Amino acid sequence: MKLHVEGSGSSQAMMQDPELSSHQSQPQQVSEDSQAPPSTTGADGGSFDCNICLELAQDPVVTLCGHLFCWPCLYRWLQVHSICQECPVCKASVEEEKVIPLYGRGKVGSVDPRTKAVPGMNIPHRPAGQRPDTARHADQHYQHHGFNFMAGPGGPATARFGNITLSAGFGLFPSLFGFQLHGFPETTGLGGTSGIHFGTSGPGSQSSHIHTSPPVVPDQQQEALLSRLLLLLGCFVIVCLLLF
Amino acid sequence: MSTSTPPQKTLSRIAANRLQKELSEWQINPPAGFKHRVTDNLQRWIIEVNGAPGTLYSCEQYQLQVDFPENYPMEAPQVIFIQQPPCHPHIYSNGHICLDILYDSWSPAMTVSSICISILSMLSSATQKARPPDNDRYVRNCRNGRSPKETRWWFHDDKV
Repeated sequence: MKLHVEGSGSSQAMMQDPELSSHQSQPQQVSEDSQAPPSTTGADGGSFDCNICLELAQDPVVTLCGHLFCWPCLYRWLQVHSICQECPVCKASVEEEKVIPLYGRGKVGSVDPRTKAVPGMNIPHRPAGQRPDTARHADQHYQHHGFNFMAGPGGPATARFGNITLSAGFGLFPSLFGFQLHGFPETTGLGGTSGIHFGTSGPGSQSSHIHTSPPVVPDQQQEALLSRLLLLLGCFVIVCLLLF
Repeated sequence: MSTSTPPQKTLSRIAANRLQKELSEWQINPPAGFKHRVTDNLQRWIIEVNGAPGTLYSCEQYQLQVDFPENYPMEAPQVIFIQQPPCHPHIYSNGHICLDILYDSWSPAMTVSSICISILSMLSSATQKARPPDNDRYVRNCRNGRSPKETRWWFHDDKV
């Protein structure tokens, strides 16, 4: 494969591979020469050019009105035009802290943008992105199960029958356990207490999901004991409901 | 008529790159009715303007001189008519143009091309060929070759 740079003012190159020459190959930007204008002026390019220097945006930031700039270009304009800080394109008001940095993938390790000195002006690092919390999807998954319980060694166990949630805490002495009865379904807090979470959707089908590390795998005996215990509790609840 | 050279410093690297870019874009897609006279001076562009057909200035040709400051595009270029300026209510007989985007409303997102289109639009929307009412006084004050960028402009006509 051979790269051929056309013209003097152009930094576009076309693939000269005989295998690729049959179909239109994508133009590739090769040169990063700051003196030669990058040829993004064609019909294809320009969408990611800074609105001030007209080059492909470096340290790109986007204003709330959606206009793209190099951070140094926009910062310089906001300093020059400090009386009335407005977007150079649409004149919407622009606040320095509210511009959104764009973090692309490429060009890692070329030059640290912070070390790039701009003569005559100290350009600060562009503002950080405003990051919302991570999406929580673990809880939603388990609401599809009509019946589940969780148990950890010495931790509380919660069983849910339809819209009745039953929690039982048992420790070293399984005979001394208390239980609670809730009338409304409640999303069980998964954080910290449970090692294993069992979700059962029907008889015979059982799925297990491991949540926190280190995972603890109970043996069959413990599993049988738990289910018997739960059956006992269920019966007890029904008896209680009938009596009171 | 003022063709005086404003106190010019050489273009910064950023300004030179941006002008290079504008020039190559102009060569690919020049604004309709304008012709850039090729020189080797990147800092001063001479542009021929043809009056738009169907307007008061159709079939007339004028010349614009665009001088770029050192820190272009953070600062507006100086744009004036040279030779015979068109007779227009916002164009003084010394070639100075009363147009807000050239002064207070300048934005670095504007280009020579967009300035040209604004000027042609200003010419095209004229309903009569006349000089500004304060033409004589203003031109007298500018006799020492003052740049229009030093004028405190008062923009009152929003119909052009």
